[in-house]
Amino acid sequence: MLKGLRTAETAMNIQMNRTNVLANNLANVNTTGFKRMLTQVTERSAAPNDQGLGGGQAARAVPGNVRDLILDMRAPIDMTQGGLRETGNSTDVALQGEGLFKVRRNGEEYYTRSGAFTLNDTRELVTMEGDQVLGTGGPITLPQGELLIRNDGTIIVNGAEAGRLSVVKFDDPSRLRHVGTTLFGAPDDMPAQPLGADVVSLAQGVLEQSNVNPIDTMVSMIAAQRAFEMESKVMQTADRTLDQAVNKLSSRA
Amino acid sequence: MLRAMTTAASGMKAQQTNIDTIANNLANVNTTGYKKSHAEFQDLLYESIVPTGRASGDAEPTRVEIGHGVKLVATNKQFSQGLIRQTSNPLDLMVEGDGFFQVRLPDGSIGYSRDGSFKLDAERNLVTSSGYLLEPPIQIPQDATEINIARDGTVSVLLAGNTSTVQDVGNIELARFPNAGGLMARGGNVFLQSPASGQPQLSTPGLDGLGEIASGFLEMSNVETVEELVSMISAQRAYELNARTISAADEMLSTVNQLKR
Repeated sequence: MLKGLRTAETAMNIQMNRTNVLANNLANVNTTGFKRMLTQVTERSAAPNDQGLGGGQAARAVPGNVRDLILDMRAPIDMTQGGLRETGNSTDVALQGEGLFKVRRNGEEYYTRSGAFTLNDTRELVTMEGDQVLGTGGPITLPQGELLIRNDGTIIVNGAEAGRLSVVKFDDPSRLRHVGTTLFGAPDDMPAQPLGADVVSLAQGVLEQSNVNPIDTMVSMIAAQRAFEMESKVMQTADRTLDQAVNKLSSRA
Repeated sequence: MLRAMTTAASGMKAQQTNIDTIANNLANVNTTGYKKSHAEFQDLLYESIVPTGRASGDAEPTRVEIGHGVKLVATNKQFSQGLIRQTSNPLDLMVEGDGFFQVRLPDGSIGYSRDGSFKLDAERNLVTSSGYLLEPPIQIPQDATEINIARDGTVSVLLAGNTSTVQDVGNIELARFPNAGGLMARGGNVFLQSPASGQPQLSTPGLDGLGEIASGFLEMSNVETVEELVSMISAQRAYELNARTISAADEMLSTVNQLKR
C-alpha cells in the first residue's frame, strides 16, 4: 500500500522539478543566446520487488507481479537555433548553425551562443560580463576604427585583419552544462573542436535570441501542473484506502 | 516548488526593467543627440539535482540542472549615428562619425555630449542648451557679423566693418573613448567617463578616426520607433508568461495543501 504513496510522491517531485525547469525557460524567453532545457520524463520498471509478493525466484514467474515504477527526469540542453534579431551594433554577432564562441573567465574557458559583445577600457572584445572573447590566437584587442566581422569570423579593422573569432563545436552538445550568465561548461572528457573558416557562418550586427518557444513551454507547464494534481489524487486515494484498512477494519474487530 | 515562483519573479523583474528602458528610449525619440539603450539579459546560476527515484549506480546521463531565472546584465548604449536634421543655424553642430563634444559641468568636471545645439551666453561664450560651457571655451567677439565653423572645428568670425579678413577665435576639440558603450549617462544629454569607458583621447575633428563637424545640422535621436514597439510587445508578453508561471506554481502549492484532508 505504501508503495502507491511512494510512487505518487516520486511522480509529484518530478513534476515539480519539471515546472522549475520550465519556469527557468520562460524567465529566459528574452535572454540573448539562451538555450532551453528539455524536460524528458521516462518511466521504467525496477527489478521485481522480492519483498512484496513472497520473495525468491518463484515470485518473479507470477504474472501480474507488482513492480516498482521508477521515474527518471532528464533535462538535456536543446541546442537548436534561436531567432535572429538585427541590432545594427557592430560588436554584436550571431552564429548561424553549428558552433559556440569561446570565452575566458578567471583563466577558465567557457562557451557561449550569445554574441552580445562589447569592448572594455583597453579595447579588448569582451562579453557583457567582462569575460574575454577568445580568437584563434587568444584574446582579441581591436584598434580604433571601423569594425567589420566577416561571415567566417575574421575581424577586420580599417581594412586590416585584427584576428579571427574562435568558433568550436562538441561531439555531443547536450552534455554541456549551464553555468549561468549564458555560458556553457564542457566536461573534461569532451574537448572542444575548432571549426574551420569554411564551416563557420556568422552575421555581424545581429543577435541570436532565446530558443524558448513560449507556446510549447506553456503547454508543458499546464501538463506538468495537471499531472501533479493527478498524482495528488493517487496519494489521496492511497490515503483513503489505508484509512479504510486501519480504521474501519479494526473497528469491526 | 517555490523555486519556480522566484524564478518567474526574476523574469518579471527583468521584463519590467526591459519596459523601463524601452519607455525611456521612446520618450527620447525627438531628443537631440540621444543614444538608445538596450537591456541585455543572462541566465542565473544552475543547481544540479539528483531526481528522486533514481537507482544508484545508474549509468544513464540523468543529471538535471535547474536554473534560477534571469538577471539584467547591462543596458547597452548604442552609439550608431542618429538621424540628421538641417537647421541652417551656424551654431548647431553635428559630429559625422565618432567623437563627443566636451562640456564643462557646473562642478568643474568634464562631460561628453553628442548634442551640438550650441547657443551664446551673456558673455558670448558657446554653451549647450543647459548653459554648460563648451570645452575648450570659445568666445565670439561682440562685433562679429558672421560665424563660420569649419569641418575641422575651427571657429572663425567676420568682424563688423571688415568683410575681407576672417578671424579665428578658437578650435573645437572632440573626444573619443576606447569603449563608448561604457560611458555613464548623466542626463541632460551628457555622458560621463567611467572605469569601463577608458580614458578620453582628444583630437581635431576629422583626424585620428574622429568624425568631422557639420555646422547647420543637428544629430537627432537614434531611436527607431518600430523596433522599440516590437521590443515592447515582446517584453510585455514575456512578463505575462512569467506571471502565468507564478499562478501555476501557486495552484500546485494549493494542491499540496489539499493532500491532507
